[in-house]
Amino acid sequence: MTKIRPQLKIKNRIITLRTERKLTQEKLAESIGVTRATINALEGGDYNPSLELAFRLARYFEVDLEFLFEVEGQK
Amino acid sequence: MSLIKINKYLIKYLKWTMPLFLVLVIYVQYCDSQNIPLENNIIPGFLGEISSWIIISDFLILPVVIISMLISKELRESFFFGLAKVSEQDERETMIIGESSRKTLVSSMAILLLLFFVTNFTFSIKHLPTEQQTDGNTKRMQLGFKFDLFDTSSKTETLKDGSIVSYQGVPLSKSGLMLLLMTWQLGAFWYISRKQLAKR
Repeated sequence: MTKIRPQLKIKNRIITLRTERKLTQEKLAESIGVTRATINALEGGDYNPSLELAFRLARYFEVDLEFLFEVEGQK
Repeated sequence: MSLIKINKYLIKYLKWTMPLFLVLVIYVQYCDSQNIPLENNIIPGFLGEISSWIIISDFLILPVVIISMLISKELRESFFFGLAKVSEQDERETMIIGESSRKTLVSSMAILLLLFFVTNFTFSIKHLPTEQQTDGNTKRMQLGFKFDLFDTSSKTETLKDGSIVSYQGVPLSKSGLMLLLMTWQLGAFWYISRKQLAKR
């Protein structure tokens, strides 16, 4: 039987960075190439992005990946 | 014009003509069941001519579209995703579709297994004739499992009515069809997932 490891709880600063830049979810979604629902899911912590999407977001906001995403409980 | 473009136009045509087709099929079935003669009751005149041509064209187009869907993955996906109103616009939606497909496969297999079992399971309780009653037993209960791969009943009726050529549907029995579906679902899932795993 395949063992599935428990998923890491990952927090992100997407909502903070988005509101600082006065962007709507729609606008951010269009710029990144995803749907507004995905941005909403990311901000709500309901979805962990792929590595590629994470890098795209970090590049868009011009921040480090480790600043944009962090594992809950880790400093 | 590509196969996919042609079929998309054909599907649009079917979408518009299908309601008339279905209404006429239901009407004919109704007349049949009530023993009402059809000759004077189908739509008369010009409208009748048009409806007939629409029905003939639908009968000719349907197999073309169905076979094209077997051949073309893109056509298959756009048709069934459109029917189920799902889209695959980004990675999250792709992941959701993957999960939904997995759950659909598993639940379909469970339902098919149940239907297969209840289709082949036989049960009866009957009164025994007096000469067979022994030790005070007056009734007999029978449990059984009856499986026929092919359905031969419709073939026999066709031969009796003197038809030269006749097609009455797939010759598999209900159980045979269910077994085929279960085998196909499992086999296709196994093959496609092995292929995907080998790629990555």
